[in-house]
Amino acid sequence: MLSIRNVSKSYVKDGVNVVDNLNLEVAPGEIFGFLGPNGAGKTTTIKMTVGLLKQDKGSITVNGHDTRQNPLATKSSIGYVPDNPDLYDKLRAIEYINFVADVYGIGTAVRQQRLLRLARMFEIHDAMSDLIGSFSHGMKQKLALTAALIHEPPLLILDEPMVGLDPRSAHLFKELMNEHCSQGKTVFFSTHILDVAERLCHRVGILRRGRLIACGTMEELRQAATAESSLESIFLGLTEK
Amino acid sequence: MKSFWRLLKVTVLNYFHISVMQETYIEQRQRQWEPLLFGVAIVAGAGIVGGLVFTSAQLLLGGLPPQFAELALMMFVLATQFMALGFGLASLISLFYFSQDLSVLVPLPLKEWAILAAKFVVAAITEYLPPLVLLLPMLIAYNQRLPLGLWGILSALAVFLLLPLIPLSLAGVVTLTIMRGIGRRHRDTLIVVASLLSIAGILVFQFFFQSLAIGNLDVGEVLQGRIDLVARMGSMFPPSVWATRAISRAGEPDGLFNLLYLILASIAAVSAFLLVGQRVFYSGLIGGEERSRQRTALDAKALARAVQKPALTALVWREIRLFMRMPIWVLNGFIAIVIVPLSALFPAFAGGDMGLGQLTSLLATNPQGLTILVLIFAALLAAFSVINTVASTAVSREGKHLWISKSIPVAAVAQVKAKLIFALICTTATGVPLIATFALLFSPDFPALLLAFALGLVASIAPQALGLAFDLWRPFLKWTTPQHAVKNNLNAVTPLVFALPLGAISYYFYLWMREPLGALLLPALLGLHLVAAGFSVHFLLAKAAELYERIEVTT
Ligand SMILES: Nc1ncnc2c1ncn2[C@@H]1O[C@H](COP(=O)(O)OP(=O)(O)OP(=O)(O)O)[C@@H](O)[C@H]1O
Ligand SMILES: [Mg+2]
Repeated sequence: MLSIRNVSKSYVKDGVNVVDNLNLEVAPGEIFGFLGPNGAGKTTTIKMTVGLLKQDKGSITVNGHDTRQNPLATKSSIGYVPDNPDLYDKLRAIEYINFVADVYGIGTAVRQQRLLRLARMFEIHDAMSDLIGSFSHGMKQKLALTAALIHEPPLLILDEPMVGLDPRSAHLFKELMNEHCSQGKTVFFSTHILDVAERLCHRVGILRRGRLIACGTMEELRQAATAESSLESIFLGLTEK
Repeated sequence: MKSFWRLLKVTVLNYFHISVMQETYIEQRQRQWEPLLFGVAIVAGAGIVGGLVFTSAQLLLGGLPPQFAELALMMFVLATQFMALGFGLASLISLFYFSQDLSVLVPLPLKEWAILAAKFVVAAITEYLPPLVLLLPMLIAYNQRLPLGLWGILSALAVFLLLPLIPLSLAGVVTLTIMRGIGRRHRDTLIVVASLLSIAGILVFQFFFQSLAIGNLDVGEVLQGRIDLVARMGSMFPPSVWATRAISRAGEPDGLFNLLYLILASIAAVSAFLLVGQRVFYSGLIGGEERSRQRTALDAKALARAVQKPALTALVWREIRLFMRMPIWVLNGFIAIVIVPLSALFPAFAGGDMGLGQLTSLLATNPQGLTILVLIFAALLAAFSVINTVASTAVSREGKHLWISKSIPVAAVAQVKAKLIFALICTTATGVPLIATFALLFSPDFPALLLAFALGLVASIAPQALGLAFDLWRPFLKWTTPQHAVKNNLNAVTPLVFALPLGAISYYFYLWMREPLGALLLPALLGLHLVAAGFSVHFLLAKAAELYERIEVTT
């Protein structure tokens, strides 16, 4: 579904690579957790996948389309929520969702049905007529997620989605991801919450200074480390050096 | 006191983006030609304006008897103060109510006056531009005509430095007081109120000056010094008299007293600002942070609005909503459109204005009169559209929201088209009051109205399309407050750069071709601009994908 091949990226010309020759495959129907210390390059990788940044080297394919050669096709396959959901403060929530649905070409009946379901589920249905500027951080997060799901994308990409969600919403969110992948769709998300990664993800990858230092199922990671260790101790062990 | 200096330093660095510039230009050594170009543009711009002012001041002073030189000086002083008031309102509103550092500063253990004073100093720094291009050339010209002497030059320097302080303090008191009334949450309203006040102020100022200047004055009596014109005209704002006399009578006791008045008044004004500020600011601020909210369930009505539209329509609507709901952008772009027709209509209906009547009769007798009028109104429409910043900051305005546009599956061409369409909608909307003014003032026939409208609209396309292309090439995305997006953005003026040669070509086309072409002149001009528009739009759309692709969303 998502394949990242030999991708490197530096923000400054001839500077250090913040993503360094990264290789990563995510299969359809998988929930993939992207871990790593602050500044490891998770957000940078995600932005390149979504088309917000250009990689210096390598290629990224989403759903069979190269992100650089066929950007519109890849973007149609992705639902994306950034780490800091800066939405249009001056639009009403319903206007924003409508805008997103329009640009993805979602028909009236389908969008109404999906909107109703998602907004109720996230408990923001009573705020849909409000300006987004009046939303709390968590509400914005949930609205961004609603917008990302309105076209039921084959690949959902989320940058630290749990930040700012209350326990109930976090729980909901986990269920939603499970549901999403049970329909054969894929979730790729970065997080610092190892608990969630451990229980929710089929596979995790750990990034450190732009390089993938570990990748696999929990089982595989445990075998590589000393047996029976938690993801936390594996993470700490791997990222310490 | 120490914390005040630190705060001041941080505020200055932050407001003028000095740290950002240091980072890009000095540390990363990127795009170093930019500050150079900036500097050259600013110096050249200030030089041209200053030079123009200097020449007109020379002409004015040279043509007037010496008794009037003082009056001329005061006009410039007054104009400078007036501009300082306007700029002061704008920058203080932005500093107090739109800057995001307040939520950081307020909880810090800083004295209230320190925050207020730091912001005031930053505003004051920006205030010295109008005196620099307006008052300084006048002072030089004045010194040429009536040498000031050392004492006079020192007084002039003091006046120069003091002049913006009183208007700025006034602006500060007004801003803070209005804010207290409406609360920080409604700061958008504040912009509207302040701008309407400014418009009213400009109109009153203009009216007052016209009636005074052209009113029934006995020039003989003025010449003999029996009427003190300076005192009379300065009565609406005494500091202007003090400032003028501090210079014109420097060396005499009277001059010294006037300088003293100005110094004392400046100190008093700044203190008043700080005092009022301490009382009012926090209550306005705190009152503003709370939000009242009534929630209604996602009802059938709201849901029924969720109807599918074509992507392009959705994009255009997004442009319209985002722009129109940001009062600062609307005012910045459209205030001229309100002021110019109003200030043309106001004296016309208030009566007693000779200028317009003369113009009408002149044009009525001139066989080319109607053509000239059509050209003037078309040029006005094009000029308004060129300065309204709608197209030229269309990409910049997306700022931190650009990730949305970049992650939706819509081709760059379509996104750019939507922005251009919105710009043209604005031009069309601008045309309506303008053409109505044309109709009201001169009652031309319908084809003339239509031609003026079409010509203005078409002539505005090329500069706007090219301005949009420029903004696509180098968008300014790192703004933190909405007015930075349009005000601290050099892209905002690029359409003007593109429009100048077009205007010059049109002008010479008119001069050279009006004889041979006769009645076909206007259609030919329309054709000319259609071609320019066609090429520009083609260029924009052809380059859109490539330019859009280049933009990276790093924030
Ligand atoms: N706009 C930028 N300009 C220059 N360097 C940047 C920029 N954005 C990120 N970086 C650098 O790139 C590196 C990777 O940053 P990135 O945001 O991808 O990390 P991250 O893994 O998402 O971290 P976090 O867990 O804190 O979100 C960091 O060293 C950061 O300093
Ligand atoms: Mg990150």
